[in-house]
Amino acid sequence: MIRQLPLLILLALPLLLGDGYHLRFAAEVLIMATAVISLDLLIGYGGLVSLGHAAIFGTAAYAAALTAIRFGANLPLVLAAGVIAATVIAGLMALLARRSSGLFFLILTLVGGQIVWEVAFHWRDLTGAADGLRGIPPLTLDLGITSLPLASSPALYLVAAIICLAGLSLARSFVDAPIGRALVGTREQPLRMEALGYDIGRIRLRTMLAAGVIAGLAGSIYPFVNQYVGPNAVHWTLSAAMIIMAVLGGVGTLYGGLIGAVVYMTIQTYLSSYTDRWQLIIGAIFVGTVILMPHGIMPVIGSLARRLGWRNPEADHGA
Amino acid sequence: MAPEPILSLSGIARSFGDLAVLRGVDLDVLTGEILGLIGPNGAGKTSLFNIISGFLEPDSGTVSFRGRNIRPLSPAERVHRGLVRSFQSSTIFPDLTVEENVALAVRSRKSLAYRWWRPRAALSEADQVALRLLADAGLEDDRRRLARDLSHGTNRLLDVVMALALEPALLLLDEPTAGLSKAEAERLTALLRRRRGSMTMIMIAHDLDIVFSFCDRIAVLDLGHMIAIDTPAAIRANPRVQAAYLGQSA
Amino acid sequence: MAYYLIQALNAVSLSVLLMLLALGLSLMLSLMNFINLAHGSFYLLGSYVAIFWLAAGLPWYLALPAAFLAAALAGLILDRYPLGLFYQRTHLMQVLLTYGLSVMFADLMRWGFGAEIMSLPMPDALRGVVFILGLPFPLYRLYVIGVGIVLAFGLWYLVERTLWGAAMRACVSDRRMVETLGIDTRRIFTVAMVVAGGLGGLAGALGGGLLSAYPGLDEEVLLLALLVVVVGGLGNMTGTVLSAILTGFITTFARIFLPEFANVISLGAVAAILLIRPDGLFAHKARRV
Repeated sequence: MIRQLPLLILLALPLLLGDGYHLRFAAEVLIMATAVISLDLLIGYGGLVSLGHAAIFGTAAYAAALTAIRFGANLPLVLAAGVIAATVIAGLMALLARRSSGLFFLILTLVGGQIVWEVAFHWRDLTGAADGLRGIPPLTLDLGITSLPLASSPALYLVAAIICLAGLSLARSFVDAPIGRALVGTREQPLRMEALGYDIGRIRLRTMLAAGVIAGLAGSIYPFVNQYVGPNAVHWTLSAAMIIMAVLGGVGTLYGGLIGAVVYMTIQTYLSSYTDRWQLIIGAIFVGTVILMPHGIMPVIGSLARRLGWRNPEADHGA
Repeated sequence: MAPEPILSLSGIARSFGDLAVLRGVDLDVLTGEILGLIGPNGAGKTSLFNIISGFLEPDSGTVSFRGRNIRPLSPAERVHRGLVRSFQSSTIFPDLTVEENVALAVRSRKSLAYRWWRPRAALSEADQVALRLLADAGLEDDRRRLARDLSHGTNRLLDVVMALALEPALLLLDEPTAGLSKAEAERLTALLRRRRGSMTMIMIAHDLDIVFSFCDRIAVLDLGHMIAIDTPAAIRANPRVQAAYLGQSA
Repeated sequence: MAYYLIQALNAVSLSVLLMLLALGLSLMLSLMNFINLAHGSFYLLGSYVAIFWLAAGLPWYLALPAAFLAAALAGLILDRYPLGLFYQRTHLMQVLLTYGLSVMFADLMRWGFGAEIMSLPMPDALRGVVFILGLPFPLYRLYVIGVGIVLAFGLWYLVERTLWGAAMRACVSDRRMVETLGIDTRRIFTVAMVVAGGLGGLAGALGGGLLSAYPGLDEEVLLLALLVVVVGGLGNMTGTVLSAILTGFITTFARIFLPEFANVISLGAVAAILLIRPDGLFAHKARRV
């Protein structure tokens, strides 16, 4: 628990300092961070770069929104809908890309994701097509006897923070379990793993499903940030942005997802109000990171923490 | 009554483009024997291993393991049937410790490979098994060392230990003693002899001293054909074999 | 009947464009083992150069060389820095670097050329239609087909029949060997990057007359090029050509018969192909072990 203290303090900060607008933004950052953490399972531990992750995340968002519109925005219901939808898409993608790696995996996930986007963009009756879904009821928690409204900014932020922590611990436990070790093995020496009797396709499928569950949790509450969800939530450019966040923060560190999301989204939101050239700046920072700090920001923090005498959780095997 | 061959190859052929690497190979490997597979470079030995272990598709021919056709099976599936191989170029995991490497193999054998939670009891039992295997090979003092820091000899020993951890019925060893000193090679073959049990082995080797002293029978491959399968003494005296090796000491 | 012939010709013109696009990408992959996700930027640059060239009233037949030179120059600069650093790195790092660069270029071009759609001022010589079996077919598309085929042939000649090409191909197999022959492999890589970049710009200049130019086109075009290359099989330029033809025809005829589902069909076809042949349709069977 001591190890998590800095993180918990960090997460509590906005609650104490921020106003409504900033809290909502912080909630969005945490939601995105959770999705990126799940992507890190794929990239950092599995060596699988997916351009279809937004499709998994966004499908959860759509499912959650549709469920809320139809059946009310009860938190457990909405989470269930999102997780199930995300896991299904993740499973389909895993089956599609079962025998592919490297560039082919990238393209197949891109193709899979874009098929999802085409559906979201064109199926007006279901998804509202290009206009997306609006009129989403505010989030609540139905406890039977009473009903807690969760629509306020602090409440939403709290939900997002809890989900982020849940996602982090799910990812961590996956990595520490035998399958996590097996996953890293398939990245490093796929041939050797096969020679040891490991079914790479099975490992991939389980990893994708795990990532789908975590991304699904995040995606479920995404529509409640702005009471809106649209096709951009499943487009490959969002997947690419998630990859940028993962790399910025540090691939293969899990926490890097959090850092990367904070950095990217802060720049995106705050810089774009000062200059039109925010994409150029983000691009430049990203390129700079890839060239100069390919392991991202997290290892830098890690070594700083070690320097300051904090016991570091053992650095896990990143890309 | 002759025992059922544990492995049966019939008419195995394989080409890479215009290069015919294997041209109709037949081979019966008897249960419990140690078979040496020798031949000049380019004879097709590693390709044959790749075909047996499932990493390469033959163009034609049948592969029977324990009486069943295994051609449709993936390498991982073959491992679970008891068909295990080691590699010529070592492919252990350099960033893991020695015991972590072996643990990977043991977990695979004990069906713990895909668990997404940590079953404490089962895992610690698996770790005990790994430790026993390491002790048996004389590697228990090295168990916390990173695999990349190992000497070549220890590296190859670890390779074999991992293969043994899978409890093979048939073990394919691709040049296990390559690059080893006499002493290291002795250590390795001693380990194999100790853990032989009812395991069958096929060993590719260039060091003919090892092959002739360790193997029950020797199969000679040359230019994609199996030109002789016999006892070491008979092979030594075989004129075709001598011709194939032209100038190499037998 | 004539209608289908016209549509087939439309498909051919699209195929040729895809082919030129994809060949630049494929060249870098097969000759340098380098993935360049900034290839779309070369294309868009070429489009803009051609558009401005023609808008300035300069000779139309020099528009293509101008675009080629501009893109080739960009390729030369990038080869110096930072692409050259990454030739020996993993594909993943190359993907990350070139994607980041493409984001930067996209914004730079948006800044320089504006956000509106710019269409190519069609030169008089290429305007109008030709009548085939009684139906009109744009002359420009015939021009695209003609130029494309010539260029593809020229590229083939360069790679397969010249000493440069032989050296480039040798570099892929064994770079050190080539160096022991006294050939500067770094320079070969530079040439390959320059040619590939220039080819992208050329494709853009030609494509400008068909697709116009606007921010975001670079991403769309990159996607298409990647799909073509991957479906064709990596490291195999013949595969890329065949794949471009296949893709061009599937896309064109899907648009005719099922316009709403055209994209889904194309994407679905790619997914199906890669499911059945994970290495692409015409891939070399590489030794795994």
